[in-house]
Amino acid sequence: MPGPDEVVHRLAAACRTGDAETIAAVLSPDVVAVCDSGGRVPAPLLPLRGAGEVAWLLRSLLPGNDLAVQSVNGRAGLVLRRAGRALAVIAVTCVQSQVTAVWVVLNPAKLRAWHR
Amino acid sequence: MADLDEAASIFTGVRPRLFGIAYRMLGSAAEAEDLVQDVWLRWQATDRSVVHNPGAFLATTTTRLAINELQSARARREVYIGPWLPEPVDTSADPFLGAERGEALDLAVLMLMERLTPQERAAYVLREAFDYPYAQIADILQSTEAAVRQQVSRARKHVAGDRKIPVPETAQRQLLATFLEAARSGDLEALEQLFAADVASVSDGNGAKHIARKIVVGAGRVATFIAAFSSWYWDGVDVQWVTANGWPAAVLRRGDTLLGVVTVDASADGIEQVLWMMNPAKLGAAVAVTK
Repeated sequence: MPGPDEVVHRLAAACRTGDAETIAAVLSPDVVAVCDSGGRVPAPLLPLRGAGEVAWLLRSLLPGNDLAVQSVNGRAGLVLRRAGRALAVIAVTCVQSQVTAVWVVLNPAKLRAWHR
Repeated sequence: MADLDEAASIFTGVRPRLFGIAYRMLGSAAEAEDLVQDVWLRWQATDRSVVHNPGAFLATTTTRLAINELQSARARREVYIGPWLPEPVDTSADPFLGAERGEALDLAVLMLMERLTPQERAAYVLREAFDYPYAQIADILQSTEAAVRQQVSRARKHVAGDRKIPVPETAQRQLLATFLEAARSGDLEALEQLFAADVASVSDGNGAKHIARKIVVGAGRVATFIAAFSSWYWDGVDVQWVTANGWPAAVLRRGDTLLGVVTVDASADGIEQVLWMMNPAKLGAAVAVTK
């Protein structure tokens, strides 16, 4: 059984392909995504549910950004940056070998410590 | 001056721990920094000659300030646009926060802790993340050891609840329909039976008239809260069933006026959360989603 950090690395690899189906394959069919934008950047206001919707969300965040796997709150998570500026920090919850929740922090006020 | 040097040296030694407590309580690194700074100012102004255990004193001050701060933080989150998540922390950059004391730090766990009372949250953090003895936590919280044990146990159950399996979409929709019927009729007993024991009702009204500003928690309290406005609220209200972002949702309208969007989140224990999106500024987006 792969550990949660390994699942996150698989998710990152899937995101790098940019293919929605490849991303969806790492997600649980019941996966939930919650986006915190603080109203400052466009983001869904209600949670997204289902591998299709969440894969679409992740895919929409990727183009033009660098993707890194980093230690977010004690677990592997994803960080998206453009020219060193953090645009999203994504914490991931896994159950067994699937991603069951993604917590997407987009609010610029919460990303200051993540710029490189 | 030597005395102040000693005070600074003691403070610096426990600072990472104080930050760890404040961050886990508030879910905000920026607010936790401010709070720890406040503790330092208080520590400077304290008659330190009468403090026998500086570490315990500073942890107590931090915890009590964090409990106070959490009350106003919650009020601010109710007027926050969209879902609120904790400020993520880079645990590779802060080994103390991450590797040594990883408990109660996971973002999903912090979100679950949002539904605890500030006292329960403090008890859980001090016990699980910092391994304080129950007796000492009781001192910090000005409570009894028995009460603290109960608070930690309740919090543990709650955090374990993360593994609860959500019920399928068709059942969610059925629950939402039954819930709306019970809410409309103000049937207190029927409402209570639908709820998980620690159900939370979360309203996003951005301070609009007639919209609750507090998160209401507990089957009895949520049922009472919802039954209380059954008599006037539902008069002439039409319900339209939609799927909003993959969740079954009900759009509420009175005539041409859009009142809001309601969704429920349920596990095998019943409804865990009732989410009321009533913020006029956000309803445009919510309704666009329903099309």
